[in-house]
Amino acid sequence: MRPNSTLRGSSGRTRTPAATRKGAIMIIGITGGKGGTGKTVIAINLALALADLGKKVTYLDCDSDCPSAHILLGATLRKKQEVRSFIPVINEEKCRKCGRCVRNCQFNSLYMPKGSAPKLVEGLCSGCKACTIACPHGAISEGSKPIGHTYRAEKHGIELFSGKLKPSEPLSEKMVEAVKERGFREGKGEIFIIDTSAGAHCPVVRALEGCTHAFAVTEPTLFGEHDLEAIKVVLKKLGIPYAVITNRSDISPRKVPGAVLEIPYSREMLDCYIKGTPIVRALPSNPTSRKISSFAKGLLK
Amino acid sequence: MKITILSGKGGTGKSCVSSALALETGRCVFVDADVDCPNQFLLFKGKEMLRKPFSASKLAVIGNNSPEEGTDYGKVCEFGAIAKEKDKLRIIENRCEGCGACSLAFPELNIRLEDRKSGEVVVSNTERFPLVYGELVPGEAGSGKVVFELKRIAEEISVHENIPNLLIDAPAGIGCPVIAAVSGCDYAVGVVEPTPASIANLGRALEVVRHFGIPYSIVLNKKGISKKYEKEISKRFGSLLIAEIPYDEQVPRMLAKGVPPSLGKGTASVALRKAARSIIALMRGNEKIRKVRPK
Repeated sequence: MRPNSTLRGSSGRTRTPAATRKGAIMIIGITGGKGGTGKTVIAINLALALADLGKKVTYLDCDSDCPSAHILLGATLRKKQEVRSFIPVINEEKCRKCGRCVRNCQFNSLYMPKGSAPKLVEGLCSGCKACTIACPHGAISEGSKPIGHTYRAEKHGIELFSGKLKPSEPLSEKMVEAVKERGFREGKGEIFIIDTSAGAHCPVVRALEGCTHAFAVTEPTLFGEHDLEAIKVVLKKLGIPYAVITNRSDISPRKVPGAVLEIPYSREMLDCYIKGTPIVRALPSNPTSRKISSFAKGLLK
Repeated sequence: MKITILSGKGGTGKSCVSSALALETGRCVFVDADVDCPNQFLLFKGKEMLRKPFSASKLAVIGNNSPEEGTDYGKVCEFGAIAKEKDKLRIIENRCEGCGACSLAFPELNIRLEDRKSGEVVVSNTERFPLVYGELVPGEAGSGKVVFELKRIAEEISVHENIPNLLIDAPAGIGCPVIAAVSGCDYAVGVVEPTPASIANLGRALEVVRHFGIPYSIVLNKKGISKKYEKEISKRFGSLLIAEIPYDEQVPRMLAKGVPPSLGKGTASVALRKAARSIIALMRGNEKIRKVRPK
């Protein structure tokens, strides 16, 4: 998708999910389908390896449900900014109880108790504003609810942007957009690394939109291989060129076909994960670190 | 009794614990609520009793694509799904949420909302229990609605066949499909591994559980990979921590073959069965559950 083909919303909030930031040579998405295959640990180490080669790297942690890149990097999240989403506010004096807003809400977030003005179930509201347009009496005005926060951090020479969805709020994809929007606006990287959440649904799609390359991280288990197929379909739909990385490639006799990088299970990598210092930085001469570093070198060719 | 297994972070062992629980419980309807990446059907093969398409969202389709010059059509769409290409408008399908704001704002374009095929819901009769799962079309929205539909079907089965327990394996994360999985449950089990990322994200998942006022307990998985964080978990959760499963290399090997991990002889298999029995004991005694209900 070309960045300019997406128009802007009336709220004045820029919509830049597909934006390719000027000057960025690569936007690399790291995804995988199944959870816990090692997306974040590989993304962080790859980011550091690229930084070690003299590149400016900006890391966008687009798993706003469960962000963990800052934990693996040992960084503290700072510069908190609130992210809000539209909710309708119904002016009971202007409301004529015609029910148009209720009928036109596709998310069933409005209901009308007998004899009263419509009420909102906040948790179901997607912020689409269809109710505002549907109301012929101008009785709905713009309110907002907080859905989470975005943050930034810096450590080991890379910039990190992250977001935390407010628990019990369902709008993961809006948080992902907010992280990307802020990251592309404030980030100065030549290379952007976008780390997605598990799964193959809307927040993952939002995260991957606009990536110039992607890596699907999997593991040699039935589950890993099954979920890899789902994420491949998403990547093909988005038209993003991708390759497969197998993590813990030796935990079973299975072999994932076509992987461009295979990282065997290593106790050291796990220890670094637990300690919050990426292995590329903690043990640069470890075989795993070397493998990731030479892979990063290959990417720049 | 409806019970859900969740963890926030992915890959901590939800599917291992829930499959063990399903096997030990005996009589339950098992719901795999990870609709974009379902896995339980790989472990439990059975006869498909039902497979039907399900629509969880709508798609705007432009009937009269003759936009006027100078009108900013994109501005009404909160999701940035309306693109203008030359003199035509295009709905960007993977951004459209089907809210209908465009059809209300521009009646002249004759935009209608059509049902999208979000995926399929499946009921499979396995040897031990009915398994209900979904197959979302990769990249589709509306996973939460699919989960609600799976739960509705599972409840029908449980009433119809008089099966007392409903077991729900939640997906990773804390977003809409997880909220859909947790809501309306009587009990939740959090699965955690001794790593800082897992502890932090279990905490976020438990905030969702507490939001619904559901009592819960915790199972520690992959014990042995970090003493420090194992200590932190037992300190943080105290008596809520009801079972510990050791790290065992047999587990990925069994999963590679498609064998449910609680059916082996290894240390983790034994511990998984024991954990399942502890959870069942908690589920049976409502009294006990009230005791562990968090403040």
